[in-house]
Amino acid sequence: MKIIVTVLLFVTCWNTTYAQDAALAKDERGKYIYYEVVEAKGVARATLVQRASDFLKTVNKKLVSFENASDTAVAGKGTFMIVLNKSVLAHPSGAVHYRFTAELRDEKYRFWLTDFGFIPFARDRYGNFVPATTFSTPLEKSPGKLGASEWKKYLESTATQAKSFGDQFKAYLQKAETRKTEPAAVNKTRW
Amino acid sequence: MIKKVTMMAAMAAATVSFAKAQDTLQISGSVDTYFKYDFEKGANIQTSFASDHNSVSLGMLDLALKKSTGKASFVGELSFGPRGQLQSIPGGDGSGSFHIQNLYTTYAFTDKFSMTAGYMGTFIGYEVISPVANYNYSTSYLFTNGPFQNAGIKANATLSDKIGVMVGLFNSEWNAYSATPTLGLNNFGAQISLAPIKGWNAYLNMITGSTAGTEFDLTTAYQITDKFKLGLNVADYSAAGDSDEGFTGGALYASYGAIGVRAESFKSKAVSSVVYSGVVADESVFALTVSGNIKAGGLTVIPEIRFDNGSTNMFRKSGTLPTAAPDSKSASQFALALVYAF
Repeated sequence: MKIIVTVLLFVTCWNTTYAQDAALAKDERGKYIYYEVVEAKGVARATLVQRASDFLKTVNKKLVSFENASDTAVAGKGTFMIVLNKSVLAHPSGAVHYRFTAELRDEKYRFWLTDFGFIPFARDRYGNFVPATTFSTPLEKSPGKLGASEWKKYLESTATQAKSFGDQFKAYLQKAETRKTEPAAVNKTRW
Repeated sequence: MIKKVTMMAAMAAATVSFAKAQDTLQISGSVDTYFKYDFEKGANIQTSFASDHNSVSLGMLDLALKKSTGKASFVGELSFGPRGQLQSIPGGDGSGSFHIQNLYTTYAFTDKFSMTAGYMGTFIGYEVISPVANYNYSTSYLFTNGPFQNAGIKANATLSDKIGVMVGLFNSEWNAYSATPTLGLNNFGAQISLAPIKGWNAYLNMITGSTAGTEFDLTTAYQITDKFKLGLNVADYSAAGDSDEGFTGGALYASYGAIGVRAESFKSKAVSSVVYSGVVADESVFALTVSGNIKAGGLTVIPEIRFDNGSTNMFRKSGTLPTAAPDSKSASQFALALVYAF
């Protein structure tokens, strides 16, 4: 009985977490947005601006790329690949483009991802998945009843990836993940 | 026991994370089936696929595998069913287990230069074998009479964001898994790809060989708005050693959202001894096809009506035996196709 309860609790907690993650808010323009305000005690604005710029310049270019920076803000644009089937037998269904903005002050900053636009992928004559069009469709645009379930999955995947992106960004600004630790060299002469 | 369950759950989560981190094996594909009704009650229009009259018939089950590991990748695509066997690939008439549409490996030396070897969908033409990538379900005369696949080796170079080049050596015959030993890779192919402005791409293609002949081809498409797309395919084929034998033609494609039109003009050259999809020497045909694309998830429903009008009798009226001489200049058909992509 204990086992059943534990498993049920595990599954319920996982589902609840997933549902919370898979939701984007809407801003005053009616556009989907992933938005966070973060405290960074003891870190000066200039340092935060520098770290935010470095993040956009150093992470995977396919995920996000640096556009511009000022004394108080950093902007970029990026792409999330949408892979609906998360098993090892997956292929991309499309890509979601977005704009990224961070505004930075002494000891705090906020950032948001918005202007999400979906581009569907299709398999070409060589069996590769490529963009089917150059025009993206805003995620806010209703696809109609026939494509609603797929669209919902695109939204969920976007929200999940936006959260993951946000976590990476926050970790970088806190310098929590900066140094990769390499295994120490083995000395076989002394043992 | 609880510890064990928790441990197993943690291990499962770790396994999933690990799997995600690897280069995944992509599996994709499609299935298609159709009903066609020819208004003269016979198999009149001789372009590829959708050939059966008054029947719910099979297209194909298409399965494609792709995997990349570092700079190397492979694609293997298998097809089963009339469209994927006897109607589009060599030896597919039941004489053996031949199901391969694509089977090649690629090595990307850099982001801008790669080499590919194997059996590949042709680089010539606007339409392809897979119904997923075509707007219309029935196919054009240019598609039917051009190459479907070319086996060989090719180099792809991206010169800039707007220009790319491909050159390759291909087996002596089109649509063949192997070359004639005495001829080898005696087809030379080249492609210049252009992307002048956002949404517009153009491909200038050429393939020439001492026995397969020479085809020049322009394929271009312009996505003008998110709904409106224009496409054009112009091609000229000359049989080996004789520029007066072959075909020439052009097809214009226009689609707006869920409805699209293809208008094609196709002409057999003056002394052609080959009959190209029912078009004899020095004769031509004009074909107009109107198709819908109604999408629901992975499913696309394609209702389609097609009218072909020849310069001479090249179709058969209702009641005329298939073995009798053509006695009609025109033909028309309705088709309803279901295509599911995954």
